[in-house]
Amino acid sequence: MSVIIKNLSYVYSPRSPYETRALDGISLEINDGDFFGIIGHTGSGKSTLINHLNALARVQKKYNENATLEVCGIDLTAKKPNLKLLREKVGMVFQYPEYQLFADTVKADVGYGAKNLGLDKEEIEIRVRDAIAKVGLNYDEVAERSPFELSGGQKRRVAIAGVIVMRPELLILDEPTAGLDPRGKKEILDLVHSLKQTCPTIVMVSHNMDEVADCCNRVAVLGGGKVTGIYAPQELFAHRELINSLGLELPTVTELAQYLAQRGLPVSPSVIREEELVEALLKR
Amino acid sequence: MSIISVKNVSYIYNEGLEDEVTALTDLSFEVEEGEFIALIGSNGSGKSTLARLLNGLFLPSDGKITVNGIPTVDKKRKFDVRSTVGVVFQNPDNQMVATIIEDDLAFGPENLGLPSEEINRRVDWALDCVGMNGYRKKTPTRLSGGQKQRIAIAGVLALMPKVLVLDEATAMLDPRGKKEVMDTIERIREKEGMAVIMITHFPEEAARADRIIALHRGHKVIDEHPRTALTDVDRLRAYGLDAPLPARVAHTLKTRGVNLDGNILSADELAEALCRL
Repeated sequence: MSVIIKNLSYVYSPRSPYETRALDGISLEINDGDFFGIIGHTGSGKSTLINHLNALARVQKKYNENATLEVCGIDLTAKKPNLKLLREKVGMVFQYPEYQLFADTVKADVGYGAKNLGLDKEEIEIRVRDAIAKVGLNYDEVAERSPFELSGGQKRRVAIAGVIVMRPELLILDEPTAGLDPRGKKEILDLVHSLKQTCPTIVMVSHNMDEVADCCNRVAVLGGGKVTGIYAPQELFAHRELINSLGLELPTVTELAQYLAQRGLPVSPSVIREEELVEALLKR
Repeated sequence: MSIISVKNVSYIYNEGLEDEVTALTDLSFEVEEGEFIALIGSNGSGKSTLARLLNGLFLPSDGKITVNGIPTVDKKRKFDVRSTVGVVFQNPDNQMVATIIEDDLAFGPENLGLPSEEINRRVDWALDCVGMNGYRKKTPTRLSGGQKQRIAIAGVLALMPKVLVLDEATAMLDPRGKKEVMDTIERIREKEGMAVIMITHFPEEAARADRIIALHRGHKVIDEHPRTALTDVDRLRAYGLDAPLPARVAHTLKTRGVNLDGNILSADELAEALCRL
């Protein structure tokens, strides 16, 4: 089991007029090998939750007397958990990760995390080459270039390479395709799929239901700091009312499929892929 | 008369230096009053450069842009140009200048030197346009992304522009925020008859416009009605762009031998065409 969360709560600005309970008794488990989606509208607690997974947000004693938070075998409710080890095991790709690029060359930027692990030079070199190849860039072309002169999609790849260079057991992606054009989106999605081979357990936060439908095998829905349910994508998106009540949207494909079904065409309302929809319409 | 005229405009970054980049090449088009244009193109196609040229933040390296008859290079009339063409950018957090919303909205009109009653009236009106009357005395920091972006739009509206340029104004918002902003824009357009130029990566948003302009590597490659612009799936793909889903599905079905008529753009049209089979 990669992540075990039981009864986790978190309060921002406690004892002030702005006190907000961002997490309110969250329980969920993420299995090894899951591609686990977390959805919910803005303010539902998604970011607070994933920030707990690599201890950017620490378990608040006061509100968590009976809570469990175990990530990659490390107990984060302990008094002094091994955070260094945790951050080696959990790789976090933030929203707009390209804003975090800083080094003069792609090679130095990607290698930064590996260097901080205390690896020797040869090992760093091997890992940097490997990480750059895994995000689909050509090492010889980009290694010595400044990350800032690359395109938006390429910058994001470099930023992701800087995380997978640490070879994390658990990879967390926060809105990995936000702000990219359709081609950049597709490239990053293909990359995300291929990362599954390198890093078997992935957690992804997304507002884009098309991507959730495309990638995830299980999806947790958050609302008001609570888990309202955990579903397989087909099961989730067949519940139109549930999705609407959460202020979310259906994947565009499911939306169209349900519309066509309503107009009397023989299409299942739980279709989540464009090819499935086309096949169903062709059979007719 | 057209409100904006772009004639043979080119724009080169770092002109004359070794890292010079041509962002736009020989671009020409006119924007009519009240028109709703969606400007599409993949990253690096020159869309944002164009947005900055339209209100004189950048000046053309070659060619000429006039706004309401005023050339954007006319430094003396810079304020006239900027109050005619208002630009809203992607990140709402970068567009707030004050800690109280009414001060933020008053910032533009104050700089135009308007009397305070007029400023007050405009702040009220702008808040009303974006549906946020109750927020006049509040602080922007505790708003949601969609609300912040509506305040950023209100800040531009307070200048009473004739053209509103939105540079991926919904890109950083969640679905609810996107919808809020799109509905706001459509309401303002209907009520105030403002022209809107919307830069977007979302084909479904673009389909709402009256006219599509597509840029590719700094050249204008499409300038048509959405009906033709957004249904030619192969051409869009060649420029790294995507068609709305119903158009894509119709296209795939046609290539797989299904006999569908016409250029299908909406879900409704797709359903009609399929039911007719």
